[in-house]
Amino acid sequence: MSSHRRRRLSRRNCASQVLAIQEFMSDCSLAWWWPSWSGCCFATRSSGSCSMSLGRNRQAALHAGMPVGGLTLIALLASGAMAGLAGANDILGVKGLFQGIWNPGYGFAAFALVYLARLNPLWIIPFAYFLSFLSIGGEMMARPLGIPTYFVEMLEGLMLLCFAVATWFERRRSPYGAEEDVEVGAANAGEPPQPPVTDAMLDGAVRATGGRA
Amino acid sequence: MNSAFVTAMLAAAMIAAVPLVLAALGEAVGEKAGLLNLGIEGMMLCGASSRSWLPTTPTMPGLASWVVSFPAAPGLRSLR
Repeated sequence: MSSHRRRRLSRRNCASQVLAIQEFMSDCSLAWWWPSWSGCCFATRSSGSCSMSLGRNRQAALHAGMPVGGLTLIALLASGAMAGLAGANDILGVKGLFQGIWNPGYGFAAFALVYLARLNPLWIIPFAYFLSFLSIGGEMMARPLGIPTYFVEMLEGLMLLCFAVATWFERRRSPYGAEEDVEVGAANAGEPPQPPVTDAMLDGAVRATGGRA
Repeated sequence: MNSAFVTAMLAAAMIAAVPLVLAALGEAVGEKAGLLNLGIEGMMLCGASSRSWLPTTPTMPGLASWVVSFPAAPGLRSLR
């Protein structure tokens, strides 16, 4: 009797659990997630992709309802945190002491690196190793070979110049720039490339929707 | 120009590349969001000075100084 009742109870529990799971799944799929996801996806889902779209087109990000100021603040905070980590690493790992005249010029090397890697974080690592190998090698080879230290900086400048010329030739071939052309082709393959969204078009869209954004 | 010299050069470059990678990564994060973070040198200086100053303060235990000194100073600097 007691075991039977327990089984019935447990079966009811199981049924109620199944019902609850079904309810939860339907809630998840339709009633709760879909409007919030479709409405607030760009605002709350991933600040990384939002800041990337912010970097691509600020007007479009504003029109999509993204919190542009908050995203800018988040990006600046992340950038500053990374830079502070870099400074701390240089003090603790490379130099070992902090001097008042500490100015290794990593900021401008970082600009050159980001430009060389074309904003791809994975390419930053080999390029950074290459640049640091150049500078370290210039420092260590200066005495035995009689090369001035500025030769390395000249080499880096020459490299950047060659890269800029190569980028100019690449952009000259396509009207909208090399990277955008590739991504447009991947997104809507077979269609002609769309013209870039201008401010006037966005203003028209805002007026058509009644200034929702 | 023996192999030991080349090995020492490669190892020194490996050590020197780490802050360069971090600084360039920070710059890339900013540039992905459309910002040109020109103050990256000052942020690095802030992180370096706080990293050299905070662990030497006697009122703070070691782990707390680690936790505080990494995000706080460059974050506050970038909030300005």
